Amino acid sequence: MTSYMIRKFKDKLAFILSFLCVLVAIIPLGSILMEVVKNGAPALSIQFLTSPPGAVGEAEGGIASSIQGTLILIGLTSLIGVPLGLMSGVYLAEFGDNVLGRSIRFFNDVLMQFPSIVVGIFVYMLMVLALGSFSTIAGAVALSIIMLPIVARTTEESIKLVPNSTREAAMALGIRRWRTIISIVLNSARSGIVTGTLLSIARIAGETAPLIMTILGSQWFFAGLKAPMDALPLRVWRLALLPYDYAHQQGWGAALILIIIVLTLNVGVRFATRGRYTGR
Amino acid sequence: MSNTQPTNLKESAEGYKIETENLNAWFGKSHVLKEISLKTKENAITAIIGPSGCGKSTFIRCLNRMHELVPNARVSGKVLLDGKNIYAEGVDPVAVRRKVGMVFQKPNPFPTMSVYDNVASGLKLTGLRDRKKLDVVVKKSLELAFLWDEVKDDLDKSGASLSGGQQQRLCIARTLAVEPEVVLMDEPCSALDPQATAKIEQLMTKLEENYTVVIVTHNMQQAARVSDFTAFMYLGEVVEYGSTRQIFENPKNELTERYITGKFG
Amino acid sequence: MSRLLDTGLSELSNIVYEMAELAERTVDTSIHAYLEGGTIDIQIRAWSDALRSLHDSLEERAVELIARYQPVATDLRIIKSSMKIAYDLSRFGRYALDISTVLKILDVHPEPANGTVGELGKKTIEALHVAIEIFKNRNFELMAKLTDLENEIDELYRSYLRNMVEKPSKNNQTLISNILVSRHLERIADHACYIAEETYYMVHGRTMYVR
Repeated sequence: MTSYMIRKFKDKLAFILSFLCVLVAIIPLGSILMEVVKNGAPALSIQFLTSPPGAVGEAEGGIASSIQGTLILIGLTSLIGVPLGLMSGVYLAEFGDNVLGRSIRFFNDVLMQFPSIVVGIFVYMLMVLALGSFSTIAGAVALSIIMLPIVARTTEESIKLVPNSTREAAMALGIRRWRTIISIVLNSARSGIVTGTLLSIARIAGETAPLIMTILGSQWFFAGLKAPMDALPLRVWRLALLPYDYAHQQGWGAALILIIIVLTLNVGVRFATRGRYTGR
Repeated sequence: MSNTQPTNLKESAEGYKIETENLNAWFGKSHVLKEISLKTKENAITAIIGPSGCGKSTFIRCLNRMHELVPNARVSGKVLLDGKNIYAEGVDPVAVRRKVGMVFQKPNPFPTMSVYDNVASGLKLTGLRDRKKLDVVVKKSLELAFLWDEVKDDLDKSGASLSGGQQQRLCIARTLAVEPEVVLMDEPCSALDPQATAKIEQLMTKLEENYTVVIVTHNMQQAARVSDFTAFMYLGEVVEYGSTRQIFENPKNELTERYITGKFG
Repeated sequence: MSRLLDTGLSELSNIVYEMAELAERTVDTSIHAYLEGGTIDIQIRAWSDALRSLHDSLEERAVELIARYQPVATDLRIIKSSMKIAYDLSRFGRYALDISTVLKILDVHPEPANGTVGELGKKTIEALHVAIEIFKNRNFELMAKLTDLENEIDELYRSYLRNMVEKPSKNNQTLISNILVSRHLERIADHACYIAEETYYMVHGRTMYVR
C-alpha cells in the first residue's frame, strides 16, 4: 500500500467515525422524541387540553391548568430574569474589565452551576416560609435565579462579539456612551442575546425540583400570585408516579405539550425578532 | 524640533482651523506624543506621514478626544479648535466629536442598519426625528460622498452588503451628516483597492472646499497626491511640516528626505 | 540601504558623465579647428551623433524610472536635472557641429587666434571647463567665476557685433563666418551656465542664477 492509499483510508475512516458519533448523538434525542410523540399523541384531545385535572383515579381531566401555569411561570420569570440578566451582561461587557467585574463574573458562573433543588430550598426558606404559603411568585423567583446567570453570561458574550470598531464609529459621531450601548451595541448583539434568552427559557420551562418547593402544584387554575399553582413538569412527575395507565398516558401527553410549547416559543421569538440585517 | 506653522507658507486670508500647543499623550507610562505644536489650515488637506509607531494615529485621535477612551490614556497640552481649547475644564467631549468627525481605517458601517439608517444614525440617535429633514440630509451626505448614484435606488439595503469602497464612502457620508467642521481620516484607503482609493481621493479634494481635512497615511504617494500640507512624524515628534510640494521636492530635514525616498533602514 | 531606484540613478549618472567628457572634447576640438584650421567635420559629426543618441537613451531611462518608482525629493531632482543637463550637453555637440560646418561651407581661414573671435573661443572653452567642473565635483565656489566669464563673453560678443556693424570687414565670407561662429560660441557659454545652475538645483533644491 502506498502512503497515499494509507492516507486515503485514514481519511475515510475518520469520516465514518465522526458520522457514527453524530448518529450516536442524535439517536437518543430522536428516540426520546419518538417515544413522547408515540405515547403522548393518543392522549391529546380538546378535553385534555382544556380541562383541569380530575380527581385521582378518574380517567377524565386534562392539563389545562398545567399549561396555563407553565406559561404564566415563563412569563413572570422572564419579566424578572431577562431585564436583570440583560443589565448584568451589559455591565460586565462594557464596564466589567476590573476587579469588581471579575468577581461578579465568577459568582455568576458559580450560580449557573447551582443544583436547582438548592435554589428551590433557598426560595422555600426565603419566600414560602416567610409568606406562609407556596406561591406562584416564589416559583417565578426561583426560576429567575436559575435564569439570571444564563442570560447574563450569554448577553455578555454576545456584546463582546460586537467589534470595537462599531463602538468607535458611534462615539466618533458624537453619540453618548449609553446611547451607543443601547441603540448600536445591543442592536448588533441582538441575535446572540435572543438565543441566550431562549436557551434559558427552555431550561427553566422544564425545571421541576424548584417548583416542588415553591409552587407545590394544584388541581385548579391560576389562583393568584400568592397561591400555589400547577405547571407541566410538576404534572408530568405527579402523573408518572400514579399507578394508573390513564395517568401514564396523560403524563406522556403533558410531556409532549411541554416540548411543543418550548419549540414554538423558540421558533416564534426567532421569527419575530429577526432583523433584516443580522449577519450576511 | 517641531515647527508650528508650515514653512514657506504664504499668509492667506484663511486662518488656522485646528492647532495644538505642546500636546503630549501617554498610553500608561509610554510617552507617545512629545510636545507637538502644529497648526492646520482651514479648508485644506493636511497629511501626516511617518513610519509605524511614530504616533500619527494617536495624534489625530487627540484632535477629537478619542484618545482618552482607551483605558490608561492621558493627554496634556492644548488643542485649539477655532481658538478654543477642546481640553479645557467643562468642555463636553461629545460636543467636540460632533464638530470633529472621524473616518477609520477599516470601513465600519453599523451592521444591523440599512444604508439610510447608517447615514442618519448620527442625527437620529441624538434626537432628530423629522423624516423629511433626515431625507434631505441623507441625500446631501451621500452625494457629497460620491455614493448617492450607486445606492439611491435601494436605501434600505443593508450597509454591510456594499463593497469595501462603497462601505468606506458610506462611513464618510455618515460622518458628514452630522455637519462637522473638521474631518479626520485615519488611513482611510489602506483596506481598499486602487479604484476605490482613487474615488475616495477624488472625494477628499472636493471635501476640502468646505471642510478642514486631516489625513493620516502610510502611503506617501497618497499624501503627495491629495494633500496641501504634509507633516512628517517620527518617534512622537513632528520632524518637518511644510507645503506638500516643498516636502516632496526639497525636504529640509535629512530624516524626512531619507524617509520619503525609502532609505529608512 | 540600496534601493531598486539606485541602480537606475547610477546608470543616469554614468551616461551624463560620459556625455560631459565627450561634449568637452567635441567643443574643444571644433573651436581649435576653427582657429587653427583643420578638417574635422566628419569627426565632429560622429561625436555629435553620439551625444544625441546618449541623450535619447538617458531620457528613456529617466522616464522609465519615473514611471516605475514615483521618485521624490533628491531622487526626483537628480532625474529632472540629469535630463536637463543631458540636453544641454547634447546641444554642445550640435553647436560644435555648426561651427565645423561653417568652416567647411565657407572655406575660409578665419581671424587669427588673438583676434576677438579667438578671444571669444578661448573664454568659451574656459567657461565650458568651469561648468563641467562644477557639475562633476559640485564645486559651487566656481559659480562666481562662471558668472564673470559669462559676462565677459556676452560683452565681447556684443562689442564684436557693434564693431562689425560700424567697421565691416572687407571680406564677406570672413564676416559671415565670424558672426555665425561667435553666435554659436555665445550659445555654448549660455548652456554651460544652465548646466551649472541645474547642478546647483539638483543638490540644493533651490535655484541660483549664474546669468
